[in-house]
Amino acid sequence: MRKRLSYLGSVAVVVAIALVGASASQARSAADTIKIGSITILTGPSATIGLETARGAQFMVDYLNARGGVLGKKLELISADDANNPQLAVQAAAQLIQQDHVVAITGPTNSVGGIAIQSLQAQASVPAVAYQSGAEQLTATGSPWVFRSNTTLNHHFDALVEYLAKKKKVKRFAYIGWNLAAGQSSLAGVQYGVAHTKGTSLVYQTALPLTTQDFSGTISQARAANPDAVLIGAPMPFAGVLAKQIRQSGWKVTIGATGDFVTTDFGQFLGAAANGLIMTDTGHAACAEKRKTGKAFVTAWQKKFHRLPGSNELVGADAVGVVAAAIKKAGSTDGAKIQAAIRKLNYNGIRFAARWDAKGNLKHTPIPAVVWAANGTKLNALTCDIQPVVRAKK
Amino acid sequence: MRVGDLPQQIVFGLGLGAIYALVAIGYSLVYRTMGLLSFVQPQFVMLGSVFGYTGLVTLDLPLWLAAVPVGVATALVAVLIDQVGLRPIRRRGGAEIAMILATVAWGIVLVEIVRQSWAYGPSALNLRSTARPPFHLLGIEVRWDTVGSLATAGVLAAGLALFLRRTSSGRALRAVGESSRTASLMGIHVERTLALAAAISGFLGGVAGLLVGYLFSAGISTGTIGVKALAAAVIGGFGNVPGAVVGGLVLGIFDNVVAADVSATWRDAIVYGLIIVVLIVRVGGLVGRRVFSRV
Amino acid sequence: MSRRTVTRGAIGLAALAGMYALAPAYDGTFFLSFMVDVLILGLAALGLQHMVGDAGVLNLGQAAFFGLGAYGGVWTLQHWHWTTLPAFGAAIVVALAGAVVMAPLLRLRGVYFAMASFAFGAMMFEVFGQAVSLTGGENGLFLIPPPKIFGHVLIGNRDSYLLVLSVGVVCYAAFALLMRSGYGLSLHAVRQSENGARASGVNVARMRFIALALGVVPPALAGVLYAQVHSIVQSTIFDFNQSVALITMVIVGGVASRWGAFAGALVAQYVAVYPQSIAQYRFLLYGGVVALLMIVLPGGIASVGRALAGARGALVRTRI
Repeated sequence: MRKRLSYLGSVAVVVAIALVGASASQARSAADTIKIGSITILTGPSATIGLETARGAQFMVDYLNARGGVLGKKLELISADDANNPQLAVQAAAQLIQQDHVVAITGPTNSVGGIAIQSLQAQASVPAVAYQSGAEQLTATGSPWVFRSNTTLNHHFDALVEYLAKKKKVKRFAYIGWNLAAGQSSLAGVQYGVAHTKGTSLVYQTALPLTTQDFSGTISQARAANPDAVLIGAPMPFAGVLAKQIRQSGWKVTIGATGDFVTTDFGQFLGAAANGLIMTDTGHAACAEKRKTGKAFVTAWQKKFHRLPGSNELVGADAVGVVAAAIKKAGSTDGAKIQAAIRKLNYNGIRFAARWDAKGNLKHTPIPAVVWAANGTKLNALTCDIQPVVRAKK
Repeated sequence: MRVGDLPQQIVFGLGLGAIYALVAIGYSLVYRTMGLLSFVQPQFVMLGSVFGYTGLVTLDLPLWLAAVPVGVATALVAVLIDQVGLRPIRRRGGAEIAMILATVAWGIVLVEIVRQSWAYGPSALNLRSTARPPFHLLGIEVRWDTVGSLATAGVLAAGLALFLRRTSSGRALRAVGESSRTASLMGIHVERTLALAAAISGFLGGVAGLLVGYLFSAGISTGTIGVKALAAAVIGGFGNVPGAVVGGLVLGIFDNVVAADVSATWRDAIVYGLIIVVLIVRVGGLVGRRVFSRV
Repeated sequence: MSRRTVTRGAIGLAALAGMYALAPAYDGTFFLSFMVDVLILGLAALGLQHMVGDAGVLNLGQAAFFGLGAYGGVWTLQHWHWTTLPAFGAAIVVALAGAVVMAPLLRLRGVYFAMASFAFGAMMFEVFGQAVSLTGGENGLFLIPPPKIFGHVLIGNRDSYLLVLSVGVVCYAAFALLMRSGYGLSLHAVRQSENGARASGVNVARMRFIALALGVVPPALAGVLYAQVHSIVQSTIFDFNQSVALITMVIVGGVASRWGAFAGALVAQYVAVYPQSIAQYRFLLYGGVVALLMIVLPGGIASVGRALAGARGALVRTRI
């Protein structure tokens, strides 16, 4: 009798859990709003990027709602965390699509996560406007459901090479980057830039795992090649630790990077050592203010937050903006119609005006160049577009 | 492979090796006294880097002074985990599997607590980026960091050796390591001694973490260095405390040379593979005497 | 047949029927997608349960075998256009290769195998992430075709669920039968008294190797299923955290219990997915729960009933 009871007891526990799970399958939000799902990095070492992006996205939703919403309804942003892990991005996408019935997704930040969710998107006809996602593989899969809101890292680094060559007279470049998709894109961009800019050469290159802590060997090898500038093709913490160790070894070489990777905590990490480091960025408030839509947005932002928006916040906002504009143009919340609308859309955005090609890539977008200053607390815009004449092949 | 580069890479590797040595001593000491493979040891390195941030940045202490409170704080956590998490298992007669799993579990708990509450992301403890420039010895660049790490590890290892040989607590540790039953029959308070072993391994791990934070960065990822240090303990003979020091230096050099001259990408995989190879070939490690521990 | 066996059999069959009924009932819902993942992970945990619970072999790198099976199977799917069942075969072969590498360490004390299996898991994770031409590196492999069995392509979560459930049932039944055979009895004898078993002529090391080899088969299958259901596979899936999650499932479900592996998977995945506020703390929970269970209830869920019914044996029974 006892044994039977004990067996039943255990089974009961399991059944109870299953029932709770089934009942928990409720949608997580109010009715009668247009739901957009956002997937980005909200926890973990890279959370700075995601939290800023999500903040920008949410602000944009509020901003648009204050101006009447879209198609007469309010927008609602359901924010999900993928902790920079593609497996979690898939889970988040499944929940957003099957449970919350979102009409579109903004994000993820990581291109690899963006690739991971494409099959779910295709099954459910849900388009996605990626956040930072600079790697080329994102659109190389051929999925018709993915759209960028930023240009590729390849493009960023190509532009950076050209800029440093012209403005800083850099001739010899060294590249130290990440061995993941995004890093490969960055390296390709550097190689292309060097090949197409007169008088430049790539004297040293290497790709390392993101978790590398000790760069002393690499730095000494790079130094031996005598470059004029070192380009860092990896996010934090790699970028920060590498830059710090370069400065600690007494090497005063010019350092270049991209804001796609290097986030605001880079400044905190390096303090005064960050000063003078030049980066391309995904956007800058000063440049956004030169556009009418941008100025209105930045003014509203300043009213609420008493500071200018950062690049990630602008990225988040524009991604939502694209979705909203597409819904308006399509006149519908049907996923396939939204997707078709984005393809034909002329998006008048906060950072730039954007149009898409057949693969979901952006046709030319301006790339601002920025510089760290004031002990790593400020990012000043040097120029709002460092490559006004885009090289033909891109 | 650049042969001329080798002495330089060896010197770079010694600094890393000193850190590995500190952590490896912890692993071997705990195994020797408790018979336990502790997966919480690498997280003491992580804690050390995090506490180090408080000491160096928030309180602005100089490095050598910060080592003591950082080490002590980590040691306290180690003792706490031992008494709250492991002692009850010992008391109920739990098997080895339970103990190992418990340390894995506690290791995860520590990582997650820090992940959730550590607001700074990866942080640099050494904010003075203009460190003293390295000096040159026989044409090889030697950084002051390397000297500092080696000095720290040397002092602590020597101190531990003296402690084990000269003090009664130290002798108690060695006695319990031989046989806990015999030790308790001789009047040694076994539980207290085990707690001491936990404290020492925590202290060493914490100081190692402080150095890691100073040299590289602080935060959750520093646990990886602690994990790789397991290879150092194995090379030196798992359970062999002096061997751990040698193993640490050997691993530091090996790791650095592999990273610089073989492949930076495969560096970690090779170190983990090394653990397996050393275990298969020679359970006693490459350094210590062969210890037969067959099933 | 005793009454107890009949009752247990009836309950088991009823539960199984209920599991199959979930498919049409929840078709297209997130809950069913969730259950697919639960079953896949439960399958990986089943192999681990056999190693740890039945044979006393502590494998801290089970995720590596999950990955070996996934990448092995996917290679045949993408390069040679095999279908699902042959891909299972390839996955098993690759996983067994990994087991063979680990085999020499089974002669040593348990702690050394634990260490080596941990190192193996860590090493394979690096390999998965860096061997770009084989595994796609950290980007992973995508556009993996959906499962295809006997000419039928299985798309959509209802079909995926039925497939995974069926594979799970087959593996479960296989292990149940194995444990009733001579092999199972030998393992049982070893758990009771290793020296006694040896004295009776049992080759302990060989038993452990067989347990290891058998135990890597379910995760290999789970790997292929994961890859085909999600159409992508990436190295981040096979990290140490995944091994920890699998260990947690086995411990929570009850290390001595086969169905416990699936129950543990249900609990662990539930925590990972549903309560938005807790999901990011799930590893904290896994660690905390395992640490607690080691002290208080090493028998896991499967022993809850016994513990509630007051059997003092519940704590000691599980022998870990």
